[in-house]
Amino acid sequence: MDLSISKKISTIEKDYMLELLSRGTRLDGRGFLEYREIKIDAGPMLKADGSARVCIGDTQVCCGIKYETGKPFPDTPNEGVITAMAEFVPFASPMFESGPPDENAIELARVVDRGIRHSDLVDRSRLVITPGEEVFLLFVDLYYMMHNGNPWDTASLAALCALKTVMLPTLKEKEINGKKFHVPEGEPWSLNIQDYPVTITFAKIGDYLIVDPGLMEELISDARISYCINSKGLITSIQKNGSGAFTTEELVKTAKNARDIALRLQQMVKDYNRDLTNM
Amino acid sequence: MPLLPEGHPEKIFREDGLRLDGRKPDDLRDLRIEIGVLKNADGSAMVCHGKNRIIAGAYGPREVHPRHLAQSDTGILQVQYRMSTFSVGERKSPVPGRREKEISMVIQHALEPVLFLEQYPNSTIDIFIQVMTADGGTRCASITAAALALADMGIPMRDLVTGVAVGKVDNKPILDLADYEDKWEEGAADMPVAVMMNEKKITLLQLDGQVGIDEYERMLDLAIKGAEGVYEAQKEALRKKYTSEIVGGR
Repeated sequence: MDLSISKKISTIEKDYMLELLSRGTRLDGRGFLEYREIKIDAGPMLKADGSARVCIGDTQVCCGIKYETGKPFPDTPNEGVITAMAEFVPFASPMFESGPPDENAIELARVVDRGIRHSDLVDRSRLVITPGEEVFLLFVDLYYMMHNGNPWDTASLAALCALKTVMLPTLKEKEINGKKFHVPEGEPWSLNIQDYPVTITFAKIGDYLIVDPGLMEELISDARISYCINSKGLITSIQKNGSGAFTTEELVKTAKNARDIALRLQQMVKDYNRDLTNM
Repeated sequence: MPLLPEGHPEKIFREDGLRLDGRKPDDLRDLRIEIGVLKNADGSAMVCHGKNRIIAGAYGPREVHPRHLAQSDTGILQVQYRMSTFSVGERKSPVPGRREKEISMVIQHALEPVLFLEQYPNSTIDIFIQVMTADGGTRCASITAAALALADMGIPMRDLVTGVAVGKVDNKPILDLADYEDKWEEGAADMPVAVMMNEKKITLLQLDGQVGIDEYERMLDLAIKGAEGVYEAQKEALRKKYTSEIVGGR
């Protein structure tokens, strides 16, 4: 996948964007700390155990979650396993090519994975079937459908909203023709999510720091920084990306801004999910 | 300990002779089509056929990558059919399998006859198909979607291509098999078909199962009849997109 700037953005376009920034505005008229519109569609994937489609502006990520049962990791015998996978679907952008996930897709999956892992989003001990022997494995699979900037926040939000819709069965042992099977029995249960970690990404262009970069902004940015912030306002993971550098002042400033924006976003997701209980 | 695999229904027809979802043998499933669902693609469409949810995006004609695939006397069509991991009952591995590669190829061959590829030497038209939910007949619904993505792209075409599956269960011919009918084993056959409706020409044909020549003829007739319904839905979806653009603006 070729994301090199020179091929995609002319000097005139870049200069124009910089001039806009010097006047305190952006290509689509947003302020530096203004987020794009967010749309959430929860549970649209009919064969997934949990799913969501999230749009931030014209960026779209579909997340589907499937469960399997299997062995826990030896160092965490009493915890279930959650893994994230991301694929850049080639129709998401004319810049994308088909092929196995490249470093960008792998980074995206890891950013989402760490956001889930280090927050209190899922209580992994509830995913145990037989302690030390068998646990639920949750596969959080992300498909990047429309590439228009900031996949990190979109994918994290899609994973959060999809986890919110996950329903798992209570499994009972049953012997059929001499073979032992797990059979779902009784009411399915949800993960009962209490923490709402969201990822907030800033792009650095020259000396300007802007939240939720659009595609053009992302392409000309020198560096990016993504903060995952939980419901308590704590940073639970950070990813710096790009060949530029940040000063410590810039880092503290972006972290504070990220926290403020995250708390607003979390409220939105909570309100939205409250309506969903009627579905 | 493994999970108990999904069970099969005990009967494939109801007491009243209708299919388990209430369809007559020659009924199509619900069909809903949207054009232009992807913002960045040159053309796109989503087909919701039964529980199938399939999105196709098309790009081109554009430069060929990798270069050595380019042909100096004609353009090429490249098709990629992929299933999302969560589109089926048991999670599918994200690594593309043999099935996906074969289906990509037969879809490519099903679409090529309607394009004027010789007009675009050294170029490629790329179609990417992503199955979000699979419910039997995904290759047919993929062709229905891909043809619309090409039309939405605005390149000249001889016709649309329309996909529909026919088959039989308990030795009775049926149209548009759902997933559970596809998996039925008694007196069963499954025959995906793609048709260029203007000339009633078949561009994709595969068969799994055992059929006599008479049955084969009847199934082909049924396929053409079924494709008629899908074709109307395709044209209606295209009309809807372009009327709304003119009247309402976007």
